[in-house]
Amino acid sequence: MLAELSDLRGVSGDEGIVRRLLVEKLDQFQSKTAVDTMGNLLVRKGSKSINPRIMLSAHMDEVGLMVMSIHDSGLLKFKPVGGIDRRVLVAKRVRIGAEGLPGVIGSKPVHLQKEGEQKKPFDEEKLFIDAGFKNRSEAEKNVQIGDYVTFDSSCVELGDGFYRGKAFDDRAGCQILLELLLENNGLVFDAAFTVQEEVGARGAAVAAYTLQPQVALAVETTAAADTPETEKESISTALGAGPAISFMDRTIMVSRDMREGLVEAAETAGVPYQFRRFTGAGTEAGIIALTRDGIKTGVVAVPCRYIHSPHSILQEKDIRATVNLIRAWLERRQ
Amino acid sequence: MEKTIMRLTEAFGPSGEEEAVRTAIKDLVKGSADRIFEDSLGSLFFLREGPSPRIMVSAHMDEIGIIVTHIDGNGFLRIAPIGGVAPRMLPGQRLRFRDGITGTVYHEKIKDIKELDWSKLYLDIGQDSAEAAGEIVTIGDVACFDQPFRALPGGRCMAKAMDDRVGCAVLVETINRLPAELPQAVCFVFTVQEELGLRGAKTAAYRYEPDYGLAVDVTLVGDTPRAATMAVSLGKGPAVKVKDNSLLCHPVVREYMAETAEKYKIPYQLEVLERGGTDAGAIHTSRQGVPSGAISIPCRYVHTPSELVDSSDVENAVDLLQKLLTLSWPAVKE
Amino acid sequence: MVTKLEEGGFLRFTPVGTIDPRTLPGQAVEIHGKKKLRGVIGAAPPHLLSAKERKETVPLDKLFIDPGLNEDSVKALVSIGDYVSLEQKPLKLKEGNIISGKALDNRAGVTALVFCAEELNALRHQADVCFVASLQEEVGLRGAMTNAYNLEPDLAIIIDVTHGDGPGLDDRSVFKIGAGPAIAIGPNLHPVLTRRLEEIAKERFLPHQKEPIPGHSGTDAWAFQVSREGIPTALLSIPLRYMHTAVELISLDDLLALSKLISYFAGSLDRLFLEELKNC
Repeated sequence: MLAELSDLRGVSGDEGIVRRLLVEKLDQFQSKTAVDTMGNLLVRKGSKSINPRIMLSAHMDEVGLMVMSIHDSGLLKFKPVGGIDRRVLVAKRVRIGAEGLPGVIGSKPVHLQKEGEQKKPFDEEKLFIDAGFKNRSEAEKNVQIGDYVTFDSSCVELGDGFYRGKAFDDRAGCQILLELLLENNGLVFDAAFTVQEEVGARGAAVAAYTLQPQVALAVETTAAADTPETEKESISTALGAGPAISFMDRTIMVSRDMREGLVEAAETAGVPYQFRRFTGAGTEAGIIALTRDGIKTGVVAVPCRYIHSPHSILQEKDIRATVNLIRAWLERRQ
Repeated sequence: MEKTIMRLTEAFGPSGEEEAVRTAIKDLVKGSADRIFEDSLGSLFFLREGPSPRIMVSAHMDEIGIIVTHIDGNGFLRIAPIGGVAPRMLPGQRLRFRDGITGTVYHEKIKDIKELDWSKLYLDIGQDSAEAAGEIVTIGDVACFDQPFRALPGGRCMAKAMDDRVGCAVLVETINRLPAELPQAVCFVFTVQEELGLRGAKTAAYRYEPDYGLAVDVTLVGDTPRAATMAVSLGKGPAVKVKDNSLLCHPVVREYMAETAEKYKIPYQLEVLERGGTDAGAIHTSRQGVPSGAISIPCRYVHTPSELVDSSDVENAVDLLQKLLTLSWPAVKE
Repeated sequence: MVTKLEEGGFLRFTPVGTIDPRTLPGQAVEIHGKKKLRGVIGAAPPHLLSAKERKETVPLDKLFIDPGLNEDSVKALVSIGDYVSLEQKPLKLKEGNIISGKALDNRAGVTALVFCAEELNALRHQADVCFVASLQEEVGLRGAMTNAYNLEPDLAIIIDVTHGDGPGLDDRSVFKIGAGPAIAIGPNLHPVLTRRLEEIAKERFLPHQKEPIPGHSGTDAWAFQVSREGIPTALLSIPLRYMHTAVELISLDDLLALSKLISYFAGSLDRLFLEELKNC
């Protein structure tokens, strides 16, 4: 499922293909699904009414690029959609537009570089996508400005339960929501597969406004920094240690009782968990928490190395543990 | 008035953990309200029914602080900011946790103060192992400056968290002095999480649906040696805000405030704050818009442990607020 | 905005909206005090500056406004919080239908609305069209937030300006003056709306350009899109050079083409289209 979801090409603003696959898989919920004007997919599980009403959210979009202009030479200029460290762009293969035309982001070969040039990263303005077109008119036959571009990578199992692929942020979250919806667990909750999180948590604002839950949980992936070159005290999360519970990020201060509720669910259900030991970066949780007259919101995230780059790495057992944690948490609130 | 300011400034309440401030306020408010309640984020409402228009008066309960992100093997704590805390404000400062545990901040070896950032700071609570430290604090715990209130000869006083406990004190005093009958409905809201981006005020305004908004907060001054240009000074009266980064105060509200001050011979100043915001910024864009303004208490050394105000400015602010609420606000246009 | 009255009758100020301080020295201004006054933004004369100082930008906090009046007159007529605007009358340049002046961002947009309203008089239209001249976009899309909530439209078209071309500019983000209004596409804009606008422009032979925007459009469209349960939003922009100065420059042809485009679009709206909007 992770491979199926993460291989799909759905950059912020172009999530249709992800949504269509989810709708297909959620066929049994037909009458309880809705798509709003932004493209959020909203699903209601269970017919009983519970108090408080709960919403789980995961975003369908991934970071990518947008074709901005076509050069006389046939090369394409681009800008990132969502936050991408420009240093991971160079020397990568990409796929352009709905057809997924292959292209490369090339760079000046090392043989032709001057002394000291390597010390500075490539200037984003000077990077191009080369899809092999010989000139502008050939390019214009095949691509348009505004076309979305994704990394060209597919999900592979590395062994020991580790996976490598693109868009684990947040197709892993979508997978978790999908599993909880499809399980025969008798749980009651609303699920929001949201759009455009990467460009500012846009879909979540609208989904929360429409669904009006009293309590919400954003299901995300979060940066794991358990690698050499990171000081021990700066390790935000580690692979294999279970879902990361946030206490604070740039958008939200998670209330103590929300945090404690998640910890309690994890401990009594015997699910390993860790804290997200980082207060920067944002999630949808913040904007959900401030919708209308306020929603009690928390964040649970699957640790993932190298998010927002062509090849992320995560561990399957963390996804399993996250499903178990959220199930246990929901069970205590029915 | 000074006792109230002391009680409120010494209370523990970094953004997200305002419980102790809520308790202190409920204790100090002796005036009557038709309804007292809290919302899901923790803002505290004292509501007085009445005819239209509905006035929302707000002051924020939260203060800036730090949050613990890591406990290292030797018992040192790593920290991250809550709100606008500057790293250079911390070395040698004492911080206090909710239950009274204290510590001091220092930094790793650096060549130059310019290198000082959050990754180099740590909090020492006097424990020499992760186990010992873990007995008394946990990751996610928050702390505030540990500094007592001090009255200075001549009527000035200093404390941590004058921003915005002095505003809360103005509201408390005003509630306590209001007559039984008022010409219009008023709701006093003690908001949460202003320091993280005016969060509590957003949901509170949505809930109360005011016709007018008025925030009481601190503002900077320009009367210290070679200070940045600012036409507000201590001791010249509360400031009627014209602009800050979060709002352009509505001329109707601003003029009503200035006219009232002049009519009742209450000294006041006009304030343009070049950066920073207040709750009024979140209130005025709520729903279809709410004409809003602010009364600002001139304050030196904002966001340090020794914020300094003049009690005459505070008294005059109470006078002004009281007059504003006992007179009729301009009728709301259809 | 005036922040302080200095000795000698000079005024310190703070920007309202984003302004490049380098465009200010020597700029004529209007001070909206108790009556309208005129002045200039002064700076120390080069003769009195060191070689080093002459090479640097004068920062905003070292600039001041000189109203050319005695201190007492200034005290009587100007208060802290008074607004100051750029003084510049619009001017038509010799060739082409080119206009330059201050505040073309976004009075050009408002003008397009006025023209559109006139053209709609001649067209039959099913949709209720509400023309909104909104406030405080430059300081944070504030009017847009409250307008969107208040009006709850089925769809919204935002008219603004975008960056015109010129040497040394990032060519990923600029548009030709005179080549028509720019139709924005990207996550902030509804694809069905933008497609329809493009179709109509082609059908009616109206010059137009495509403006790809990978995220925040920097306009009221950002606020409208996520109001309440979401509003399908589109953005049309007039290419404009030298934005946020007193010498902004646009082509009137672009403005007219834009207003025609919105009138034809508004005239074409029907219930069927509303249904189409539901498919994003």
